Amino acid sequence: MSFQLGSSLLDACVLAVLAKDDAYGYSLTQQVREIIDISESTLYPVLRRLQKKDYLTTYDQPFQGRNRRYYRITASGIEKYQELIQEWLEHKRKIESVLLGGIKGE
Amino acid sequence: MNKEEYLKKLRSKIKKLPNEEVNEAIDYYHQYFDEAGEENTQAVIASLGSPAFVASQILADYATKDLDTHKNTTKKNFSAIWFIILATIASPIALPLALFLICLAVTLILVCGVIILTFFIFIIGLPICGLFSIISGAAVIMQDWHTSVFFIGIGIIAVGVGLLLYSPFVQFSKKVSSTIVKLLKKLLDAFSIKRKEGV
Repeated sequence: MSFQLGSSLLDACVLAVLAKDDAYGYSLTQQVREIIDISESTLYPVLRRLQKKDYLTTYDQPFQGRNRRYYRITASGIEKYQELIQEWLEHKRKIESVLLGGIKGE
Repeated sequence: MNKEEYLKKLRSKIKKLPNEEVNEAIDYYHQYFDEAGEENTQAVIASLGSPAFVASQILADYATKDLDTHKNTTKKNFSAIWFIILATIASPIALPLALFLICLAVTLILVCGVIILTFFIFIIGLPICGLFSIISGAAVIMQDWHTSVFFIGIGIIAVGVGLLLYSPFVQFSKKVSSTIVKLLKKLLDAFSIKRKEGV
């Protein structure tokens, strides 16, 4: 992808994935990597930051004799997610009006 | 490099963070390796990047997070700057940064060298002047013994002070030079590790 992904857009993507279902670090990374080309090590700082801001909580669940730390979106996380969607739509509209201006123009 | 070595290196790169942060990060990556499965360890390492790279991401994010969630005190700013510097150093070094580090090392060596040289000249010069003072004092002993005693006395004091300062000076310069060497070694180690595992 030739467009750079800002950190708030990455936050939004993580919140979006978690809004569907809880996930653990590895599966979350794979899911996000399906849509955006990020390094596998990009997500940990994002998750940690969102967790610190109380947008996410974690809980542990045993799986095959080891521990899995799941991330779950909180109520304020969902609020933030919706806020980011609004911002994204506004941003997208503005960008498109410039970007597509060249082919739409008379 | 296996999983344990990788995590150990990562831990050593982020050990300046609060303990809780270090443990969280290590736990996360520990689980990450487990989920990927033992047979994929090398693939995961390749995809994560070097421990230095992962550490630089964690450190950089920690620094900036600290800036916008807390009140901006000078101490916080300094700690943020510190973490940013750490992150930069931990990340694979770009050429300009390497040049900067080399300049820093050269400057450090020059400054310390000049200080040591100055002390050295002072300490060597003192007994020599003292010696000359004693000789000239002795030379005029026939004409005026008061002057003679004065110069010989000054000379002996100068030689004495010079000898007295000699051993602390040697200790001081040894300490300074060994500190510089240790510092340079650290820098060099950081360089060579990066060269070996550059992303």
